[in-house]
Amino acid sequence: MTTKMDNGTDVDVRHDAGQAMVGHSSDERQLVSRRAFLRAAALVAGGSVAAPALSAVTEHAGHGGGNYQSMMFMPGHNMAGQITEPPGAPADDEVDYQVFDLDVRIVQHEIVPGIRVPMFAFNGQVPGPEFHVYEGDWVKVIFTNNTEEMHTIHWHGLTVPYTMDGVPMLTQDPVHPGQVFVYRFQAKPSGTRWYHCHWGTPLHAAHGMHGAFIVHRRDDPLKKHFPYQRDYTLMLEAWDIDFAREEIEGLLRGMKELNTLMQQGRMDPMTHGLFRSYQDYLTAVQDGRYIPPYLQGRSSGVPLRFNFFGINGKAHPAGRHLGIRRGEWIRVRLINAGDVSHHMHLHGHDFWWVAQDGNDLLQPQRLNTIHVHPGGTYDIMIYGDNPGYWAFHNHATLMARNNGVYPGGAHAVLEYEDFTPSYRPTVSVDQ
Amino acid sequence: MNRWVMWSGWLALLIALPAQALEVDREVWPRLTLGGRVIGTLDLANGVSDGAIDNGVTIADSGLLLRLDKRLYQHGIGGAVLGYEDFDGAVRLTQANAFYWDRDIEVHVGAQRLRNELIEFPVLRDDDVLGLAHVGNAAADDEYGQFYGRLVAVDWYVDGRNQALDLWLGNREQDAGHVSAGQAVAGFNSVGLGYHYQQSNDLIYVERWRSAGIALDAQRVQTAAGIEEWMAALIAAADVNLNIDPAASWSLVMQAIYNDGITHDGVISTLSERARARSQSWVTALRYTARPNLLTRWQAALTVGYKEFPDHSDASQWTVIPTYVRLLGQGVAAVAQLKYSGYGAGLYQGGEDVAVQIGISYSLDARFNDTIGERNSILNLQYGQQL
Ligand SMILES: [Cu+2]
Repeated sequence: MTTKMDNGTDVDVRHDAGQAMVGHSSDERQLVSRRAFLRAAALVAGGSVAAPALSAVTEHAGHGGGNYQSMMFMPGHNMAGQITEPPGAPADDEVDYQVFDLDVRIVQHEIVPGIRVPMFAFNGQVPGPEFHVYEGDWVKVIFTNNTEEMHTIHWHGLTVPYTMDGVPMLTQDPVHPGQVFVYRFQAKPSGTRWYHCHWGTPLHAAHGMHGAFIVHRRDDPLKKHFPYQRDYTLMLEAWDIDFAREEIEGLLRGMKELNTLMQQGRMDPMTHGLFRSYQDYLTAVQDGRYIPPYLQGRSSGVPLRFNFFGINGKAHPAGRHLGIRRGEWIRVRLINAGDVSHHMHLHGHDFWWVAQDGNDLLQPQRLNTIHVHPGGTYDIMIYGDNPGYWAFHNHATLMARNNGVYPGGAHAVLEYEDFTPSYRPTVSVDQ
Repeated sequence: MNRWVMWSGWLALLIALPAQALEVDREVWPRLTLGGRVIGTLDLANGVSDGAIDNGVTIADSGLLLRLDKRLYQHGIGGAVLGYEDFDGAVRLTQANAFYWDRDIEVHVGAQRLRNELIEFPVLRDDDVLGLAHVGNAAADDEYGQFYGRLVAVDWYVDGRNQALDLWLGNREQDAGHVSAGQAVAGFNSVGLGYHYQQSNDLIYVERWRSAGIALDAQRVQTAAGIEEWMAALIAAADVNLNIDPAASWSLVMQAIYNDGITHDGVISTLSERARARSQSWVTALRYTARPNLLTRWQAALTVGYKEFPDHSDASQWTVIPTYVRLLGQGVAAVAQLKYSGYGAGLYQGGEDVAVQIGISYSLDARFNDTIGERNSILNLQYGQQL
């Protein structure tokens, strides 16, 4: 995250008070928030949910979860204030969980001065907070949906129990407005992983709801050859800011209506495009009861035209610098959270590509341009042996633009902190 | 030195200045919004009034609307609207106005819709409730002059959201007949002010109020005696949801107009003569919208209106209009309407108009290069979208 990039904090920033995720004890969490949740739940437990009034907490952790199932087909389910704890992970008293709070809100995120874009954002920031844990740590993420839209969290590259994988209607119900969903899992395997929303992914995940999940090893073998102390995470992004605005507006309109029906206990799964089976879906379409939104009579398709590109939520020249010193190794973790490939080229240096998708390569490769494809993570090691200011940018130069104006987009600067420059960089935004 | 040469030199310098700032002065494409509709109906009718429908095929009210706008350098949106509409065979340029808007204000300057109504009724065409739901034009008898004019209209959104104070000033059309009769007024002949509440279009099925307002609409009129006077009308309206059900919505639309008039005993056989007479009218409509799976499929409405001219004996009108619209696809609808108007003995010798209309309508609302969004979007009203 940007905080890290500013001051190049040590890799173990678990207790950094900045934007990195801070764990706190499970007991404290229970005392502080459970009661609030219960109170909220009691207010809405108007009998529409088939659970006893005070058991708004759908508690399944630590046992088989025999009656855990989709609520989406219950007539008039209303999940506001509900806390869902799916089965599949040890209970709180069985392992020592590190507890994290995560929510989602709508923010007006500024990509570059003058361009503010509505986005669904984890804890109100783009990217979401950066997790730093050690391999084998037990992680509990209490996810609160503070929007009127549905969301989930998918833990990308982590081998979590399937009930924690965050794929709507495949592994869980989407987290409803006002609902709390508790993810529990063990952080493994190690490496550069990430997380993102899996509901409406082209908008939600690619345009805001993404964050890094770094699983450290206490005995990192890479440090033998590349003794780095500082590491940086760069999440690479591509935005169509007009699509983001139009799509969120459309979703809000639809969800205001859907949430009204849910609050009235009259939510019909078909209205939300939900079917129990493919056969159900097929017959509903065939006999005209359901008109799919992708039909040519209903949709012209989504005219996505990416016009802004960035690193960690910012486009050039709003991006930050990566600090390095002579004789120092730094590790740079590249994560492509968007829908187009970025071809990141570093000036003045070769670097070593050491890991892909979080896993160390058998043989590091020496490169100066690395192709970072959607969904993938790529780790490189840079050695400080050429003092100066060095561009590290997307060499697909059509994307090195802000709204078509060069230079912009995904552009970072490698900056030596221990030299006296002769030529000092300034800001140029129109070439 | 020739003055023209000197001025053109300054002009060239002024034009050159902005171009020096950037090597490439890129053209900014506007957002383009195409609106409008074509409605064709087969009419079977029998009537006595001057507004009665004839047997035949009608395309009245069909029109095309073009909006071009763009973000400004620092703040707000600027652009223009061009609109054409058919008035029973005569195509007129109805809208040609340039505008500015931001979160707090909307300004339109040019040809535009008059502010002589506050609400739209669920009937097939505007002129279905002509006379009942609009303040008439005292100096024009054609339909265009009832709905359009040249105005400066300012809507100041006092809460930055839904509530506006409105002010307008300009010219209603004065048709050739009135001009040649020496009944034209020089200068501004229309002024008005009002307050309105407008719900976001995206929330009309989930909030109680869709819209409401009150307005005072004044016209400068030359009387038969050759004296100019201001004539004022008061309009009040509300459009309210009877239930909050986005899948099956019941709503009620109401508007009342009191027109103080200037001639209290003249003839009332033409639109403009009736506009000059003291009158009171109201129209109300009950509307049901069926939206299974939140997809609008059909709408049925019953519109009822009443108007009377209290200075004239038994000069009253009742109108009842059931309307049915079935959406066959997005914007494409089969439409049907029955229109009945009955008159008191003081109007059209107490006769009646009856018409049945069946047809197809195609409505257009397409946006290209939308870099803006709308002023009354949820994002703008509730989440402080950038403007
Ligand atoms: Cu989401």
